[in-house]
Amino acid sequence: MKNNPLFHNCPSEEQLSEYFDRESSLQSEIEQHVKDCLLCRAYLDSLEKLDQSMKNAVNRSCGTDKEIAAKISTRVKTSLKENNIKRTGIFFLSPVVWRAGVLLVIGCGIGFLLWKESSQTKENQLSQNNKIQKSAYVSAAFVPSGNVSKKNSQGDDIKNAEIKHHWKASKNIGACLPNILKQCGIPEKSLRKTNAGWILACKLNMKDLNRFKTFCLDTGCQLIYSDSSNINDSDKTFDYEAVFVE
Amino acid sequence: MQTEEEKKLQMQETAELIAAFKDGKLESFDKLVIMYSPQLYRTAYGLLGSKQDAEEVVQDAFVRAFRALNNFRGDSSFETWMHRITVNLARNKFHWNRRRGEGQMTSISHVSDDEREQRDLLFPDDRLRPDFSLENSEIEHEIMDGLSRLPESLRETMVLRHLSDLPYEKIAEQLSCKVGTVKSRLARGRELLREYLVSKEIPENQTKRSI
Repeated sequence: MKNNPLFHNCPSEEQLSEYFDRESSLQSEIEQHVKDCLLCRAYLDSLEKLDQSMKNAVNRSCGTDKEIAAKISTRVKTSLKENNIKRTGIFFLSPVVWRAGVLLVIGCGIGFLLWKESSQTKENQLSQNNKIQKSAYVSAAFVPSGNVSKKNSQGDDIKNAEIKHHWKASKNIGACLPNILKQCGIPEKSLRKTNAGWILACKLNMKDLNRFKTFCLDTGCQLIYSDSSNINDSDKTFDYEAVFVE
Repeated sequence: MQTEEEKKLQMQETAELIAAFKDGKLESFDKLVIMYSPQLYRTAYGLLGSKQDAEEVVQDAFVRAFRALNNFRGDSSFETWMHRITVNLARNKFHWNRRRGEGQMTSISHVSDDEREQRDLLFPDDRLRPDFSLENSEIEHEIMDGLSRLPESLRETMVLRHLSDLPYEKIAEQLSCKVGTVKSRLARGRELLREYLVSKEIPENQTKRSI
């Protein structure tokens, strides 16, 4: 037991304070000491008096348990009712709801902007493709029917072809075409490159044309436009013109 | 002070009421208010020294508890949880009052006679009741005054021990400190309060360890 420097053989005031609260680990030892020590008993009495006075002071001011409970219960009920009324208005929503709402609005805004931007990019891409196609049609040796001579984008005179095809091709069509031409017996010089794409102008019979078409389709080309005169004789050669647009 | 068995029963009843509240029986909250408000009110009054402030703080504590009870996980007991809310709100209120200069009103010795007269009219003193023992009244009054003058940490510890009858461990849990700190704060608080009462010429044999 730690001794109080002022009172020899007595527990310290902190130990007596713990003993008073029945929380001391030396409860029995101190109890034994207190039995024989008037000084410690007086100190403990003073603590008892202090405790009682505090309790009395508060009890006298606050009233009985029933009075307090009734008073607080009424206040709490009234307050909760008022809060419920207030909380029906949007401005009285709890902060959590507010934050969630604001985040949702921001999220929707960002989502909308992203969607708008991506759709605009797609639109731009589409319109650029259209432009390319359009320019391909214009610059290519597409000649309306009739025997009027036209110039292509390279400025070369071209005659009106009897069969005209417009193909939508992949980017590497330039590498594939010479091989296809070779297999169909079409001279390579019939093929030329323009800003719009590749143009083939040659003489073919219907059988060769069908072969050529098959090769093109096998390569992944799509026939997007076709114009032909009435050709009944399959052995007869005719002017053929093909435009390959990427 | 409650016995262990009474405490167990109260805890069991509290758990049932909370479960009922979570099931949507909102009226069970009123029973919790009736069960815990006296203890919390006394704690708040001890910390603030004003009935009105104490009522306001306890009401606010229960309103907060009502909103948060559905999320109450029961890591600590409902009693500890409510005490923590009340002590925190009382602490805020105490600082708010002090910033507004109301803290000075807790000490009667610091107000002029005119102010005292005016305040006595507003808040009639219980001590004027004829059946009231003047001697005891004086001690109690000075004790409350002394309590309000203690440093915050000591005052809170003293109130939770003497007025809320909480054990050391729960006080430590609520004030987020160690049990040893609670012990030393209590001893120090009691000593300071006794010294204050001596300085107010409260009879020594009632409060001081006489040699």
